[in-house]
Amino acid sequence: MRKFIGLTQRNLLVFFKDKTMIFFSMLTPLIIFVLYLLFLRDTYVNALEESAGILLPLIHGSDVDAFVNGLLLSGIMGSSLITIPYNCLVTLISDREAGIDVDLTVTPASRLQIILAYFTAAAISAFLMTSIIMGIGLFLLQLTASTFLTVKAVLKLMLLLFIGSVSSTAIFMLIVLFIRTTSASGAFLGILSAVSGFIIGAYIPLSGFASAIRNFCQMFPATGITVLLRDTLLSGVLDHVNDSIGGIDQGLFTSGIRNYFTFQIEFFGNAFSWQQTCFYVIMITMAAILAISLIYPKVYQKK
Amino acid sequence: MNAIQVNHLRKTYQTHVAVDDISFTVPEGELFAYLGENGAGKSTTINMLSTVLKKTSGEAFVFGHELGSEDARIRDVIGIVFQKSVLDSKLTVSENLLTRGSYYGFSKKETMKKLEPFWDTFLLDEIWKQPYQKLSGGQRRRVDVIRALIHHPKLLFLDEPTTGLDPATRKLLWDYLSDLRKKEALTIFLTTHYMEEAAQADHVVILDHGRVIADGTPANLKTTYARSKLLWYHAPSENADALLQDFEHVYQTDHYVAYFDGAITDFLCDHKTEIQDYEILKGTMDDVFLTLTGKELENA
Repeated sequence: MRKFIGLTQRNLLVFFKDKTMIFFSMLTPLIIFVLYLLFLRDTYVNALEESAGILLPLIHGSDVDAFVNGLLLSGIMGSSLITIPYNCLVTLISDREAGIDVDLTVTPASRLQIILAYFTAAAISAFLMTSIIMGIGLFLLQLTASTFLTVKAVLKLMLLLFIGSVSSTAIFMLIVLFIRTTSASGAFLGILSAVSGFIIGAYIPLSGFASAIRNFCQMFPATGITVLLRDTLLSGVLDHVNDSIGGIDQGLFTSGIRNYFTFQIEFFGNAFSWQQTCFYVIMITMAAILAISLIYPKVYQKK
Repeated sequence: MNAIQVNHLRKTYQTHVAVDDISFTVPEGELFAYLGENGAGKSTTINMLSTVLKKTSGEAFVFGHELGSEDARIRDVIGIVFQKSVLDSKLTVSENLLTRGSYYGFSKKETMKKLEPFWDTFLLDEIWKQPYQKLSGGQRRRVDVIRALIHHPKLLFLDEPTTGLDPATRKLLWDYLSDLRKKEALTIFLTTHYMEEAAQADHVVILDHGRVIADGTPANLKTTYARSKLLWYHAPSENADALLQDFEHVYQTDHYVAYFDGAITDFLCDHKTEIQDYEILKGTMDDVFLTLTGKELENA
């Protein structure tokens, strides 16, 4: 156990000592934040106001702020749960490239311990970093407007960050098998940063895509987690908006907003509940972990 | 007990034969030099014996543990100083060494205890908190050696450990390792490009294109494969040339250099009146290597 802890500790140290790596992990969330300041916020507000129509005077301006800021945070969290776990695994690539993995394999630590240590360190780093971002985001959100978040909702958010970190790490562990150099890894991160924002619906709501693309995007566990984060973060605000409207529209406005901004995963017309989405993500994660445990020992086997 | 026993070991990559049917034995406590030009198969042998690479055929034992079936036990007793450093450049020396200690199952306290013997000799105190990447070449090598010895292995592989190092650091490392050999019967498996290091070995094996082409003590190898040289300080003359006619010889600056395969003293006794100002140079490991491979090792 001490060997495994030592290996994990080393991987964590290597990641957190590399400031460039941390910066690049944060690049997509930063891009989303900048886009938000430039135009995304206006797009969200316009969509909300257009949908509200004659109900708009009944909705508090602070609730609109809380909603659009929460949308931003869910987008940032969703993209962080993709780029951060991936970047945390770059240690694995750079170790193979620099031959440092040989220094690990000549020790009494088993191959399985070495592999699990990479996985655990990346999942821990991702969870820590996304939790910090979430903490800062919630603090700022609370400063600007009431978030209507309960303790239970915050705990649910943390659970989602945990599942999302583990899930993305497991999937990327399989992808990094095919990436041999840190320069190739950088190129892949560039593509990932650009694409991930679309896939999770951070740039454009998923409802804006054709149904085939929407179904494709929703197959990714990260999208499922982002949708659940959005739902958990913003349900309180929407419930409050619904209360403000006072039932005049029989809840049609908030349910329309939920559909427009995708608060629920829907495969080919079948809506997934919170639990079903979690179950789906966990199943994909388990399958990825199983694949890792089957494939990786062969990669680290003597050749 | 033998530290290493290698029987007909072979490693091939598709059609390329990296190590070809090699056999040798390294007794415990020996300084064993494994020489060969680049690409001769030295690192491949080390990688097989240290359980990094899989052998294609043959068998090998490290302290009685069979390669392939008892790899975990082999890893417990070996340490390696790699040609290229494999420590984490951004971590400090302390972080590097403490995490490496944990790979052998040591707690922080136990690792610190294991590091005690290195503290003064390797001036660990002055570099302990420094990032590895900020150290000089000599300091880095010192840390590499400490890392390889952190679990007090019985067998240490040194893969060209002193290449590019300043003489002071080379001396420091060798003095420390010699001391360790005396105190703890540490076996050292060395590959090097420095012939003066190979000359200190108890036993030398020379490899060429994956095959063992010579095996013996430095003295035996020099006797067998290197000619002694007579340096005769004398002006060039026909008489002198006639005296040396049975031997290969050349004139350099102010002296003749004559090469002898056999006993040089008989010749000197026969010509003591003519040859008075002279030096005898015994053949070196460089000469051995040159004779066997046709190349000088430092340039190989």
